[in-house]
Amino acid sequence: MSLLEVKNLTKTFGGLTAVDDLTFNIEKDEILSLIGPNGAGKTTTFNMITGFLNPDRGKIIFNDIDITSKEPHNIAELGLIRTFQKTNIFPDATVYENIKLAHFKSSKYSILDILIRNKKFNKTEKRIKEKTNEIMEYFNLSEEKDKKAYNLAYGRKRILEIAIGMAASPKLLLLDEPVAGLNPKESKEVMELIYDIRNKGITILLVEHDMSVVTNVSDRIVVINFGEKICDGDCEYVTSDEEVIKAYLGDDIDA
Amino acid sequence: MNINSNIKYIIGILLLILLPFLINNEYLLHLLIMGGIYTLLVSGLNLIVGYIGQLSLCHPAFFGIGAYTTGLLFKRLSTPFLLNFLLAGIITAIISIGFGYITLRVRGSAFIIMTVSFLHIMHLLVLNEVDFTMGQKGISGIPNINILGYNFNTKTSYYYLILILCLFTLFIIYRLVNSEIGRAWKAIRDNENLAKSIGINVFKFSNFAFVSGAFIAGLAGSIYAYYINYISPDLFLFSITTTLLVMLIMGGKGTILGPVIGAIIFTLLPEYLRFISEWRMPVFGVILILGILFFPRGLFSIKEILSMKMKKKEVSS
Ligand SMILES: Nc1ncnc2c1ncn2[C@@H]1O[C@H](COP(=O)(O)OP(=O)(O)O)[C@@H](O)[C@H]1O
Ligand SMILES: [Mg+2]
Repeated sequence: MSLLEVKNLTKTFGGLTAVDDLTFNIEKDEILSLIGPNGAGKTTTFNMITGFLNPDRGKIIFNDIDITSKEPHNIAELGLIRTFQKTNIFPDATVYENIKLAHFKSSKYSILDILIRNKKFNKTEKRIKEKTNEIMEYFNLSEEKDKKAYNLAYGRKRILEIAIGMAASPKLLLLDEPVAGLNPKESKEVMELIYDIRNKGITILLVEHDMSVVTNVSDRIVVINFGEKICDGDCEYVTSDEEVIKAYLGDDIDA
Repeated sequence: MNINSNIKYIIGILLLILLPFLINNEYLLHLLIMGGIYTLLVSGLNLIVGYIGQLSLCHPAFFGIGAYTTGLLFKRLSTPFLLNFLLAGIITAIISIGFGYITLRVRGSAFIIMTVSFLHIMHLLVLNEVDFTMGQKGISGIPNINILGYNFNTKTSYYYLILILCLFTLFIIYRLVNSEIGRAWKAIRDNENLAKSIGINVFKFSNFAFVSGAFIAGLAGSIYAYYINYISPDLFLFSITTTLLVMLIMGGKGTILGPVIGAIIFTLLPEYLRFISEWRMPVFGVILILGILFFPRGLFSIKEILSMKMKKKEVSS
């Protein structure tokens, strides 16, 4: 059984078919990269998987549960956590608060627990604090703990975004162009982080428009163009596929 | 909270308890009671405007519904205070659930317009349903509060009742805000989409803030009806919305004590400006503008601003 199954997913905007009969799977513990030129339909696919957009047609199955057209927070509850292509953080909160907020799923209290602050409440709050510190440590954010998130440098914001995703206890982490706008050094750092996160047992779906960024870390690559899947396989297979070279790599070589 | 700040709060509360004996001034006591009622209203509004970041303009409607529930229950059924008081809160909350269920699906200007319409509709209903609400005449002759035989016939007794209610409400708000509920509210205010994507049910938590605020306003309305002994459709006027927003924003939205400071200062200030007679409102306006200019995040942020200036000095010296 695959962790995520996307079947015949289709979405049109007006006359434009942004995603066209797209089918692919993600196996547990792999890094799958979804790549394609700008406008290929990657973000739209992401939005449908995470419930931010309803597909016109098709099915999305996560862990044997049909999540097609479920609400985003219900999907997150199941362990499917996403980041956004345009940086999305809690700008007015500090780095520490950002990560603490993101532990929302791990705190299940009743109103009574909150009002009387019983043992359960205090124990959970303590655990969340510890986990927040651990995550800050892991992502090297501890020194900027008390900075407001909007004050961070761009590269640090992108790291914070992934840290927020991790704090939300993902089973499958979906990253939408996490290295867009980063310099090569920062980009390499983030890719190493992603590789390490996978080794912690978190499956990853990585979206990227630049193929060279992902070839080192991906177990498998799915290539889409104009909303249609044109190739699916390991790096070697994909990079030598003629249609991919024609439709996609050709652009890069020209550029 | 460390021991030091605990002591500060205990001293503060002791002072508030001793206050009626210290001031010995009926008029000032009346203003403080009104300040307490405004504290309840603004603290509730703060949950909606300050924490989930939705600009609700219909808060006086919930105050008015609470007051009218109380007035009508007394007039028609002569039910006792405790029942009227609780029903005022509950009926207001039920109405706000219905209204929030429709409106909290949208944000920004659409929400603002729906809330202001709701306030006007409620105003017109109370004004025009004369058989039920007595229309413009209002409801008079509401008696003083009576709890199990104890009659609240002095200002001091109302002062203590309001004080207890305010402390209790603020305590509950403090606990809510410093829990996963408060964290969810702040997440929604700061970034709704990100909040959703980490598993927060935005609609549910927005509704909870909205209903809690309305419930508090309903209770405040009930106490007000008993205290003033008279209610009228003027409770639904938009000018009350303005007053509440001034108190909230000048006091400091999104903080626990900001609404308290705003409510007290802006209950007292206009009254104590009466000595300049016709210059009262212009001067009040200028004070407001200067206040916003120098404390854009509310008077409650004075401490923060001062400590920041000190730090800057330390750095520069
Ligand atoms: N909300 C929308 N309304 C209309 N068109 C959209 C919308 N979102 C995306 N599109 C269009 O769908 C196509 C795919 O976009 P997108 O999924 O963002 O591509 P990618 O992420 O691969 O760059 C583009 O042509 C884009 O203009
Ligand atoms: Mg995109």
